[in-house]
Amino acid sequence: MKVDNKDGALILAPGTDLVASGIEKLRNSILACFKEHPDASNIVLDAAGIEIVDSLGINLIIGLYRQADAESKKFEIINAGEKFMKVANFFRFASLFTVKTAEE
Amino acid sequence: MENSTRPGILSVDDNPFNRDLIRILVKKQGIPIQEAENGIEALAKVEKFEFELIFMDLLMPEMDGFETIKRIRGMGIKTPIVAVSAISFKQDRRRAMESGCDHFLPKPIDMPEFLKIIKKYVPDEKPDENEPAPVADPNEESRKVTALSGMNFSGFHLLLVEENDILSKRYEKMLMEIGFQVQRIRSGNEAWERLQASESHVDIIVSNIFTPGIDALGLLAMVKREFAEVLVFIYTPQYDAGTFQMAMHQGVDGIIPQSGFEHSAASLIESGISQSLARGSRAQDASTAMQVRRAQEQLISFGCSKAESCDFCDIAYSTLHAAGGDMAQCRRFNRAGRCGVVLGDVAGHDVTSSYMSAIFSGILTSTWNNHQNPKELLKVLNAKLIKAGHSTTHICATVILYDGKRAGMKIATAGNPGGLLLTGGLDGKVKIRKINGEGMALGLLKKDNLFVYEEIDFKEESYILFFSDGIEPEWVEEALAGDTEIFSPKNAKGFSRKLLDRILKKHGQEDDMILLSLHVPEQFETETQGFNFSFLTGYEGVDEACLWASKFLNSDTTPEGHDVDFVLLLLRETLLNAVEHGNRQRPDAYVDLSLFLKPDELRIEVSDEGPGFELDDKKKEMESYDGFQIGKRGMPLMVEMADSVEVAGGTVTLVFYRRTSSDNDE
Repeated sequence: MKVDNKDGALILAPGTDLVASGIEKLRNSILACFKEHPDASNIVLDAAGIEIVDSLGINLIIGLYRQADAESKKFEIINAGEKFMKVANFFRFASLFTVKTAEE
Repeated sequence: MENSTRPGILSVDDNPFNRDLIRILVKKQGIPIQEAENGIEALAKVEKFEFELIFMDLLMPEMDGFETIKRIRGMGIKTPIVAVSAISFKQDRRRAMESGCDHFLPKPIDMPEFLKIIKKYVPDEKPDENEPAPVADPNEESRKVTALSGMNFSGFHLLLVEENDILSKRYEKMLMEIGFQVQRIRSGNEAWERLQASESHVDIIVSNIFTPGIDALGLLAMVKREFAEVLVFIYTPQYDAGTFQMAMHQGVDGIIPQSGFEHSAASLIESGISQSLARGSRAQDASTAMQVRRAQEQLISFGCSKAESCDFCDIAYSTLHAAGGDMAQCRRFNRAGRCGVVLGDVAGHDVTSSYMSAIFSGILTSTWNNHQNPKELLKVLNAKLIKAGHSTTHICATVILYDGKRAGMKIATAGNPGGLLLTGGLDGKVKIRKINGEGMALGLLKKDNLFVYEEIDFKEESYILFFSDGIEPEWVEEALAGDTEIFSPKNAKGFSRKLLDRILKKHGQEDDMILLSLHVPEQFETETQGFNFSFLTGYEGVDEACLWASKFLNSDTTPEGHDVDFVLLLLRETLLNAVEHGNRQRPDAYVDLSLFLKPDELRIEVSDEGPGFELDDKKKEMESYDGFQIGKRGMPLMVEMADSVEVAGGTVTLVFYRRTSSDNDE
C-alpha cells in the first residue's frame, strides 16, 4: 500500500482489490499509518486499482470513515473506477462522505 | 381460533413412535388428540385451535421444543404445555421451564405420572349449563357407582355378554352411566363374531362366565390369542377356585363378583385398565408391540425423501414378529452429495428395545446436522445417551459420512460389526475385504477412544455392505457365487434385498436384520450446462473460485437484466458465507461451487459442510440491519440482488432469471 502525507492529508492507496484474502494485512497497515500520522486532518482513500470490494472490504472502508470521524478528520475517496462506483452507489457511500471518480 | 368442536390435546413430536404412544394413552382417556411432527406444524395448529393441553418434545429438527414453546407463549397462548423429553437433567428442565412450559415429563413416560398430568390439566368436560339437571331417583341411589379416580370411560367400547335380558339391561344401564359405549349380546359365539367383524371396535368384554355356545373361559382363551389388546372381565354368581385359577391362567383382566356387580364393576374395570397401562399387561404389551412395529418401520428409512430413491444407498430389512430395535436413517447434508447414514441396533428385541431405538433416533435427529463427522457424532450420541440415563441399554451403531464429489468415505462404529468392501472383477469373482468394526457400544462408558474409525477411498467400482448384525464374509461370497448379474452396478437397486434374502434363506434369522449396500453413484447429468469447482476452506480459495467462475460468467451467459459484476460479487459473498459460517474456517472442510447455465436462467449452488440456516430468520435479522454498521453484508446483498435465494441444508442456491425492461421498471 502506498502512503502519502501531503498538506495535512493522509492518502492511502492500496492499489489492489479490497477482498477478504487481503483485508487483514491492509487493516494492520492502515492502523499503523494512523499512528504514524496523528496530525493529518484529512484521510483520503485512493481507489485507483480497486475493482472488487467484498463485504469485508466495505467493513474496512466504513471502519476507516468512522475512525476518521471519531478523530474529527475529513474522509473521502478519490480515483474511483467504474466497478468501484457500482458498489459505492449500491451502499450509498456518498451519503456519508465524498466519492470522486478518476475524471473528477 | 376455532373451538366449535373440542380439539383436546396437541402432541408435538418428530418421532412417530412417541406420537403413537401418546395418542393411545390420551384416547384411552376419551380425550380427542391432534398431532404435529415439528414446531412449525405445532405453531400452525395452536393458531387455529384452542387446545386444552400440549405435550411438547424438546429435541426436534427444524424448530426444537424450546423455541416452539417460546413462540407459543409469544403468541399470547396460555394453554398448559408439558415438555416431554429424554433429556431430563436439571439444566434442561430449567431451560424448558424458562421457555414457558408448565410441567416436565421425562422419557420413557411413566404412566401413572402421565395420567396424573392429564387429570390435572384436562378436567372432565363440564355439563352444558342450558341442559336441565337430571331428576334424582332415590331408588337408583343404592346402585350408583363411581370409578376409583373418576376415569372417563367415554372412549371405551364394551361388549356385554349376558343371556338374561333383565340382567343385561340392568348392567348396560349402569355401565352406560359411567361412560362406556355398550353393546349387549347374548352369547360367546356372537361376541366372537363381533370381534372378528372388521368394522367393529371393541376395547373391553364383560361376560357372564356361563354363556350359551362358547362360554366365557373359551372366549377368554380365544380373545387373548387373537385380540390380545382387548381386555376381558368375567363375572360369576359364585366363587369357584378352579374356575378362577383357570381364568387367571388364561390372562383374565378382572373377575367381578356378580352379587356386587353394580358396586364393584367400575372400580375393577378401571383397575384393570390402569394396570394394563401402568405395568404393561400382556394385552397392552401386544397392543403396544403392534404400534411399535408399525412405528419402527418408519425408523428404517433411507433416501433423501420418500419420493426420491437414493442412487448411493440401497437397503433391505427383515424384521422378526416381536418388536425389535434395529434402525437406519440417512441424511443428505448438501446438494454436492454429502450424505450421512446411521445404522443402529439396540440390545434385545422387545418393546423396550424399540422404544430405545426411537429415543436414539430422536437424539440423532437433533444432533446430526451439527456433528457430521462419524466419530464426533458417536462421541456426542454416547454422551447424550449417558447423560439421559440410558446406560443400561446399550446401542450398537455404524455411522457413515459419504462425500459425493470426492467419493471419500468416513466410517465409525460403536459395537456394530463393521462392513464388507466388495470389489467385483470382470471375471465375476468377488473380492471381499473386512472394514474395521466393533468398538465400544453406545451408552456404556465415556471412553470415546474406544470407537473404531476408518476412512476409505470409494472410487473404484465396488459395494460396501453394512449389516445390523454380524455376517460371515463367506456367506456373502456364497450368496453371490456364480451370479455376475446381481453385482452389476446397473442392478444396484434391489441388490440388498436379493442378497439378504439369499443369506437368510440359507442361514436363518434370529434377530431383526438390516442390510445397507452403498455404491458410488454414476455422475449426475443435468439438462443444463453444469460446471463444478471445489476448494478447501480459506479466503484464497474464494479468490480462486471467483476467478474460475469469471471465465464462465460474462454478458453472454448472464441472463439479461443482471449486471455481471454484481453476480460475481454475490457469488463471492456466498462463498465467504460458506467459508466463515458453514465451514467455520475449518481448513479441512470443502466448499463446492456449481454453475448451471441456461439461456434465460443462471443457477449458482454453493455447498459447504455445515448444517445450513433458516433463511427466514436471516431475513428477519435484516429488518433491523443498518448498512453502515460494521457487520456482514453478504445476506442483504444476496436477497436484494438475486431473483431467488434458496437454502437447503448446507447448500445456498442463487437463481437469476432473464429480466425484461418492464421487470426492471417494477
